Order: sequence, then structure tokens, then C-alpha cells
Amino acid sequence: MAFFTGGLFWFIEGVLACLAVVAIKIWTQDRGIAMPWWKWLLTALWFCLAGFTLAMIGTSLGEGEPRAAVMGGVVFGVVTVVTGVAFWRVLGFSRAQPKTNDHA
Amino acid sequence: MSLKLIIVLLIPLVLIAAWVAGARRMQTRLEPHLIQVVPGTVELKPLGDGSFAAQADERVVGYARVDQANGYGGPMRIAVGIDTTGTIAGVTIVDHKETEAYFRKVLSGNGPGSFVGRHVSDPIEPGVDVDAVTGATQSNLALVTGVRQGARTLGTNQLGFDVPAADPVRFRFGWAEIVLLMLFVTGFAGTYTQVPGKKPLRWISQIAALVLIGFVYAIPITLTHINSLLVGYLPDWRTQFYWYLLIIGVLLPVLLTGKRPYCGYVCPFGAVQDCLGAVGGRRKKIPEVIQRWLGWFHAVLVFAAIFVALYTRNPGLTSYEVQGSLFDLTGLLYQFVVLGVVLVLSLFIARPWCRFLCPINGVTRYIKTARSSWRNRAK
Amino acid sequence: MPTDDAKQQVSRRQFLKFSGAAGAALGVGSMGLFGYQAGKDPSSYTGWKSFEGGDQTFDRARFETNSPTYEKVGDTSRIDARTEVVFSRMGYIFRSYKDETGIEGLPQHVQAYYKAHPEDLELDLYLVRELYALQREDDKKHGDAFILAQAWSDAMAAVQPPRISEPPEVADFPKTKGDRYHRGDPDSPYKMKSPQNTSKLIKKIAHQLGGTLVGIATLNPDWVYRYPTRGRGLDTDKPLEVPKHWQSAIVVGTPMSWDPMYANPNYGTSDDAYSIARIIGFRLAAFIRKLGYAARPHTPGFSYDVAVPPIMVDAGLGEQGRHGVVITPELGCNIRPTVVTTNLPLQPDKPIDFGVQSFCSTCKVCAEQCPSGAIPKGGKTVVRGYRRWQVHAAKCHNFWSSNLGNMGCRICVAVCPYTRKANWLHKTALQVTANDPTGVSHAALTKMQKLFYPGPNPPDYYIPSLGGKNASYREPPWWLRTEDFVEL
Repeated sequence: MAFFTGGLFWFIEGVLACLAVVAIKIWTQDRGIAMPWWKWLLTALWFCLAGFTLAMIGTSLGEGEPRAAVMGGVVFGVVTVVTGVAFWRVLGFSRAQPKTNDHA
Repeated sequence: MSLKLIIVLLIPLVLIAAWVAGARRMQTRLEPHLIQVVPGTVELKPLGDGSFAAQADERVVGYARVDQANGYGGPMRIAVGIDTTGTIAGVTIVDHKETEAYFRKVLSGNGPGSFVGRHVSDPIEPGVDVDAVTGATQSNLALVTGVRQGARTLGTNQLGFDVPAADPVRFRFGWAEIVLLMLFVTGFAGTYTQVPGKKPLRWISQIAALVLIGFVYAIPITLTHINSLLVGYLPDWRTQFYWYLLIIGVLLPVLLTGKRPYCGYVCPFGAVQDCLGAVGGRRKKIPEVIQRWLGWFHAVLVFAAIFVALYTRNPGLTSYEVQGSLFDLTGLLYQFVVLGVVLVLSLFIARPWCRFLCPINGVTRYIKTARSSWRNRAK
Repeated sequence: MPTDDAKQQVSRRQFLKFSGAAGAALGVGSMGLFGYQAGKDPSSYTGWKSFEGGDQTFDRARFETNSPTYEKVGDTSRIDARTEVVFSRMGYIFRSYKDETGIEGLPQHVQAYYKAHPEDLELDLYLVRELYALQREDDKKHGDAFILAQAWSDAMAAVQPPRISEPPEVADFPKTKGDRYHRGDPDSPYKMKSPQNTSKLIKKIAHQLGGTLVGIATLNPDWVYRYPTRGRGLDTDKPLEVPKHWQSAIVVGTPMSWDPMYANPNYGTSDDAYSIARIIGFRLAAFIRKLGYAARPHTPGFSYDVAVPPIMVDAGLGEQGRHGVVITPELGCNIRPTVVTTNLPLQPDKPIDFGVQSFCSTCKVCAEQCPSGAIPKGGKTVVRGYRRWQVHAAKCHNFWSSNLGNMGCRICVAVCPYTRKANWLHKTALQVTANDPTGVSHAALTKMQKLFYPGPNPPDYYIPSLGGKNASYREPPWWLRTEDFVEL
């Protein structure tokens, strides 16, 4: 059964993406991190990159090109991790700020 | 005498033994190669100048010889055969000392078969009538030069062709040498003097090295250089001045003073790790015990790599660095995987490659240890 | 002390936070599974899944150009198919070459050709004198391993349309008598409403007949052979005058089965696609004749009066690449075409330019992988008045004639970066290259192609007698692994 290439899969992906947005919003609020639009954009782009890397590895394996999977994994995997760490620090996710209690 | 000193003294002795053993087992039979390069050969008749007449039924069907040219890792021997009209009939590579991944690159451009059909009076020059293989220039040049030399010698001596004379060897000193020299000067200044603004100076030097020595010229020092030096394959200083600059610039300071300006200022792969370290903050500490074990692993790895190179007389064979995979995207699969792991690790810990894997660091660390334990021998 | 309400809200926030984080991880992680299924998806085997035209998906209109991507420079001339087509030349060698007389025994025009191309004579004779024998010997020793590939190929080739035995003035027109399947009225053809309309119909019919890609061009007389080949109902000693009723050329292409194609040179076959293309050609011609118009199929492997690649370019199916094969957006170069020349009034398509000339000028994967050295690594040359890359046909022919399996090669087709199945990854790469005028992505994707999809060392493709290892670009699919099904 080709569930993962079907329409239902993308519907579920959409639901999960919404959940992720809510979670990021709450998490950043809890830590007191401001989220202007460009931080949202970078975060979204990074998730796309991570998804691309995994999908690229998967597709190469499915096609019977294991070398492409390994090489693609190394090339895009390193880019994903490095940009992930860079964003994490640049966007200020690593710094915990004093909790504001305004939601209580 | 301390245990340390004993080990320090033992290492060169073992390596010398490997060198001698390696020298004894180096005897390649040339006949199969010579027969192969002139199709139809039954018998070889030596002609005195190192060439052979290839005969079948008492009839000369062509000529063959083996010539040598200097590659990246050492000499490359090439058998060339021509037919009686002066057309190259076959080429085989008798042996070579090049790094595997790079040599494959050369062969995909200029396979031995690609020379067949050319005439001894053709230029046979990379970029002119044969491929200039970018990223493996020196290996390619050796192959093409070997073929040209062989073909021309046969053409002139046996068939009386008037082939173009070889260009005289000229001293080569270009931008790569100038850049390297300037980086070393910066490195020495930063290491040995109290210049102000050392930190920005080091960053500038490293980034220049990353771009130029790493990506543009793609010729940082590798274990191949050290191995060649130890085996005794010294390239022509006029065409390979860079080679000497690099080796002297790396080894001399550590021999004399125990310091390593190359690592901090000139090494492009060090620069990559430092840049990633700046991105990731590299705040993780490795526990002492693991550090000690990794240190031993490093020492054994480098020792084994040099040992095998000396025994097989093949400097390029054990050059396991992964920087080539980054700077000119050449390497075997495992090298790319190791590269990926090293790049990710260097976000979190300081210079993982240098500390636990780099063969150059292994060699310089040995020199440092040897210096200090020799000084302290009395104690 | 927080109130109950606040407590509840905090725990609700906690719940959302954790389920969201889990959702994000699951969402990103399942992209890997998506990729795996997309990679295995049978619907990515373009041309082997649908007969409704659903595979001709590239938006050609955006890449249309008024000048085809080959360049006309100076005077042009037509192909002399008696000598410039390597198969015809080999025919003369087989029939009338004797060692005692040398080329003197050959007809005048063949002698003239060989005098002008001594290298071709050497290569053609080398094939006859040595290569065939070596191939036979190796085939005895190693050939059984490829018997399933041969069985598949022969099965596909088993059904053959008839050969054309009459000249175009007779053969192309509908008959008023005889076999009902060829009957029609050449004197009063049905009046079609408009050429545009007819083109739309013909393309639909071509797709319904199993054609993956179809395009229509006004026939440029330069593509018609100057002298015809044998077996076409034409006198090979008389120059071929382009018949008046060859006005338009409909070109229909189908791919070779994908997995065997990647396992070239030993496991692939041209005959799977050839036979489908042949049948489409004859069926399409019958369709047109029923309407009272003239139609002549030109079908693979040897039955042509026209050079097909430039017609494919004119019809907007693709662009000719470094290896001489036309690269199409949907199939890459995994395409085997058939042409029908006709006087049915048709609206021609426009050629397209989707960046192939730029890509091929730097890629060179095919030239590097080709063991015979037939594909040029350098620039274009002028061939019969057109500037393009020219493949050395005799070198190519000698290599593929020496192979085992189905005796062929097709390595350049398999290694071409454009020859990719239709999944999201390769479709995206195609769109990037097609829409990039700078060529930056071309260099980057070429680099990736070489890093991610390397082939064997080129000399290993040869048979053992010639120093090779019978290497294939990729492993064969399970259904062609003889050793798993046959006691050897």
C-alpha cells in the first residue's frame, strides 16, 4: 500500500505542521522569546530542509541507489545540522529568558 | 631512561625496518606490460636504450618501453607501445603511487585506451589534445608526461621521427607559492611575536587559507607529503617548489621550537572546524578518560598509516584524510561519511579532526614529544 | 497560588507543546518514508504505466522557441544513408569486401567514402575480422548469464509489422482494393475542419496507441536521406527526391523498460521500445490512411528514410545532447521514436529550449563513461551544415557490437542525468535546470550526479577478451537475474 505517496498522508502532514506551529508558539512564549515573522520563516525553511534531506535519502533507497542515499545524507545532513545549530543560537532559542506570567 | 623515551626511540627503528623490508620486495616484472602494449607481440628484443622491439614470427610489429614520471604520491611507471608507423598501439600503467580516488578521476578522463591511435608526433599535452583533469592535475600530468616521453623516445630512436623537443624545465613560482608563503609569514608572526590584534589576524589568515589553499588550489598538506619524504620520493624542486615550501613550513618550526604555526594559521581544514565551532559554540567537553583513549587510537592510526606506506612504498595509499572530500569533492564513500561526522562534531567540540584523527598532527605531536622527552632524559 | 483554571490552562499548554513537538518530529521523520515509497513508486516508470497521454507532462509552452537549438551554419547537405549510416556500410563489407581486392571490390561511392574516412574503414574491418569472433567466444563462456534479458528482448521483438516493399508513391497511400485495414480513398480524402484541430486529434490517437510523447513538425527536407537505405521499396542507387506528400512529420516516442535500461550494456535492450514504437508507427499510419491521406511510417531499428533526431527537435520533444541522442524533459534520453510522414494538414509544434545545450556543454558524464570514446569531450563541430556534437558512429558501433546480452550498449542513455524516473526528486531537479538561465544549477547538479550516481570504471564495461569485466551501470532488476531462475 502506497500510503505515504497518497493524499491522506499530506493531509496528516498538514495537521502535524499546524500542531508544530502551535507548539513552537507556546514554547517560545513560555521562554519569553520574541518571534517576529522572519524567525517563523527561517524555522519553516529549516523544517523543509530537514524534511527534504530525509525524503531524499528515502527516495534514493527506494530507487535502489544506496550510494546516493549515503552521499545525499552526508551533504544535506551536514547542511541541516549546521543550519539547525546556527538558527538555534541566532534565533535565541538557546537562551532561556525569565518567565513572564501574563498568561496565568 | 623513561618508558616514554623508549617508545619515542623505538618508533623510528620500526619504521626504518618497514622501509628496508619494503625496498626488498619492490621488484616488478615488466615483460607482461611490454607484451600487452603492442598487440600481437610474441617476443621482446632489447634494443639497448631501454626500449624493446616487439616481434612476432621474426617480424618487428612495434616497439615498447617503460618510462617514469613524477605524480602526486611518487613515481608512476608507464609502458608505451607503438606500431611500425609511429601510432601508439597500447598504454598500461605498470605501477603508481597516487591516492585511489584521485587516480580514478584521472582514468575517467584519460584512460590508457584514450592514447591509442595517437601519433608519436602529436602534442600529447593536457588541455591541448588530451584532457586536463581538474582536481588531479599532478597525477594526470604524470600519466600524460610518461606516455609522451615513452612515445617520443620510441619515435625518435626507432623510427627516426623528428618529434618536437621537450621544453626545458623552468622554475615554477606562481600565485599558489606566494599565497602559501604569505600565510606562513602571518603564521610565524602570530606564533613567535607579540603582534597586536592576534585574534583577528588569525581569523583573517584562516579564512584566506580556507578559500585559497582549500577551495581554489586544493593543496593542503597531507600524509602523502610526509610519506613521500620518508620513502624518499622527492619531486623536482623546480616544478614542485610548493611541495618543499609546505613540508619545510610545517615541519621546521615544530622541530626547532615545538610550535605549529601551520595548524593555527594555514591549515584550511582547521579553519573549517574553527568556523563551525564558532557557529555551534563548541562547549562540550570530552571526559579525560575518553580523551586519553582517543589519543592512543590516534597515535596507533598514524603510525600504522606511515608503516604501511613505507612497507608498500606507496605514499598515497594510506592518505586517509577527508579534507579532499570537502575541498574538491573527491574521495571514497567512507571518507565522505567520516567528513560528515567530523563536520557535525566540530560544532560541539573543538577541532575533533585535528585532535583525534589528523595524521599531520600525529607526526608533529610525535616530534614534540620526542623533543621534550629527549630534553628531560636526564631527569 | 494558581487557581484551578490557571492550572488547567498550564497543563493544556504543556499538552499542546509536547504533542506539537511530537507532531513535528513525526511529520519530518515520515518524510523519509514518503521518500522511500516515492522512490519505489511504479508510477515513476514514465511511459510504462499509462496509455492516456498522462506522461507528457512538461509544460512545453513556457520553453518554446522560434529557432531550434541546433544551429544552421552555411550550406547544408543531406545524409547519404548508403555510407553514412554504419549499418548500410557494414552491409557492403559483408557482401562484397574481399581481402585480395581490398576496397577496390566495393561500389564506387563506398570506396569514395572509405577513402575520405580511412579510420572508419579500419574500425569497420576490425569489427568484422576480430571483434565478432571475440564476442562469440566470450558469449559462449559468459553469455548464459544474460539469457533472461535476451528472452525479454526477443519476446518484445517477436511481433513485427511488415516491411515496406513499394515506393512512397504507392506504399504511403490508402488502397481502394484488398485488405480492409489498408483501404481508403486517396482521391477524395475527408476534409478536416482545421489543422489545429487535426493535430490535437492525432496527438490524442498517438497517446492512445501507447505513445508516451508525441510532437508534430513540418518536415525539413534536409532531414530526408539523400540516398535511401535498403528495404524501403526504394532504389538505393538513385538519389531520393523528397516526395511531395511528405509534408508533416509526426514523431512518437516510447521509453525502454527503465530497470533493464539502467543495467546496460548487458541487460538492457532496445527492442522493447523499438517494437512498441514500430507498432505505433504502423497503426498511426493506418489511422491516417483511413481518412484518405498518405502516411509512411519510419520505424526503428533500420527502416527510415529520414534522420529522426532533428525531427524530434523540430517537433519540440526535446533537444539533441552531447551524445547525439535527443533529451526530452519527461524521459531524458530513454526514448525510442517512430516517425510518420504524411500529407494530412497539421499544425506543427514549436521547438523547445529547456537548457540542454548549456547543461551538456559542461556535464560530459556520457563522454566520460563511454568506453569507446565515441562521444566528443570537446566542442561542437559543423556536420552537414549544422553545428552540433557529433558522435563517432563507427567507434560506437564497434563497442556495442562486442557486448554480450542483447548486443548493444545504451550506456550514454543510462548515465545521462536527464534520464531519470518521474519522482519528486528528479522532477524538481529538472524544473530547476530548465528554469535556470545562469547555468549555476547545471554545474551543481552535474557535480551531484558524479558524486551520487557514479558508474564503473569505463574499461570494465568491455567483455573479458577485451580486458573488461562485463560491467553494467546498475544491477539488473530481479526479474532479469538469470542465476535466480535458471540452473546454469
